[in-house]
Amino acid sequence: MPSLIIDGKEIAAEPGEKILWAALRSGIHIPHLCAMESADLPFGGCRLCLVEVEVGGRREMVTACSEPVREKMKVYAHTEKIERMRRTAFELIMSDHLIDCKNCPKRKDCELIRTASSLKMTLQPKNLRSLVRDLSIDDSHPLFAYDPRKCVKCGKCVLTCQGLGKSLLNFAYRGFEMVVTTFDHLPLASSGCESCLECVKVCPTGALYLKETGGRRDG
Amino acid sequence: MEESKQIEEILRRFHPERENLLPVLQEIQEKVGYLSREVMESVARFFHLPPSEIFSVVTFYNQFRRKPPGRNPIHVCLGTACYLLGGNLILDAFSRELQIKKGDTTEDGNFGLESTACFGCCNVAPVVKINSQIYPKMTPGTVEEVIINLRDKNKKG
Ligand code: SF4
Ligand code: SF4
Ligand code: FES
Ligand code: FES
Repeated sequence: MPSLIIDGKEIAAEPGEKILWAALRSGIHIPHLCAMESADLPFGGCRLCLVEVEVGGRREMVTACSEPVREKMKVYAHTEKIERMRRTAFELIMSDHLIDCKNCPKRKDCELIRTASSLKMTLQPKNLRSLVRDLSIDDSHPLFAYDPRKCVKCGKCVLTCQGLGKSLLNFAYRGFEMVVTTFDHLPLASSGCESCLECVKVCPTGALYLKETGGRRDG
Repeated sequence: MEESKQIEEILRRFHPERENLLPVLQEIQEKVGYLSREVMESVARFFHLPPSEIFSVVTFYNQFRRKPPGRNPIHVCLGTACYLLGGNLILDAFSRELQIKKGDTTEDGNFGLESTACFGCCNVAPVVKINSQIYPKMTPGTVEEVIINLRDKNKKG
């Protein structure tokens, strides 16, 4: 079994495994938002999982969720430089996020809140102007709803729906205008959704959420 | 009917391989003018791709439009001369006034908004062309006027 050294600590890894999962299993925390263990590459690019690896005496910046472990590789997950880049990445993510935790169905189980506290940051960006886009909630589906203003474009729902052979959700547009949406913005209820709710389960934020938490689920 | 024939004809000349997706979309748009929901669906079927992926590609590129150009397609020149004299401000003004983005058409199908390269009348830049008429020396202020006049004309005609 290959082993690697993260922040000076030697840990075991599966052959071919990505740095991120090996680290997490050994109790070394690396922030991450868009990575999925079932996928080779993340769809989004949150860049929260940045680490430095030593290659031939030089340090290189890589994303831990996509970089496979090499035997005896040296990884630095918490250098000052890395922390700084992560904080910038997180501010960027939060700069178009509708921060409304009080009314958010995910407030008790939100990856953004967890990430902010692990980075010792506030949810509200300090160095970037926040610009929440004028997008509306799709609550056409009886069981769940989608608030694009809380989507961080991690792509987990896209990958999940694709993995199930449906691909009803996808990225559209680009740059600041990028959104995750259905074909031609069809309402979820008429998008061909078969209500497996897997996308809701993987969404790290309050973007995809169950309408009723407990109670009448078939109502 | 005519339209779906044209599309069939285009598709017939291509293999349903991913690398042909862009050329197919470009050709359809050139022939038909825009990529409607139905067109995107046929293209998806042809390539055996999920429709959401076609939508992803179509919205990624500025060159594609998903609505007919509108009865009054507004072409704002962003050629060098016009650009330097604030062509993009004119575009923004139209965009604000009509509440549509570049490449879009108003709900009522009345106006479409487009940017283009030099019309060859740089001496009166910045220039806008609507229904083959040139509007010289535009300012953000005259944008509203132009739209009001066109709306009136449409009501009468
Ligand atoms: S998704 Fe998280 S950070 Fe955003 S409003 Fe909901 S609880 Fe707050
Ligand atoms: S809806 Fe949720 S899972 Fe999907 S991309 Fe947005 S944040 Fe990620
Ligand atoms: S978790 Fe690696 S880029 Fe998002
Ligand atoms: S640059 Fe606009 S007309 Fe020449």
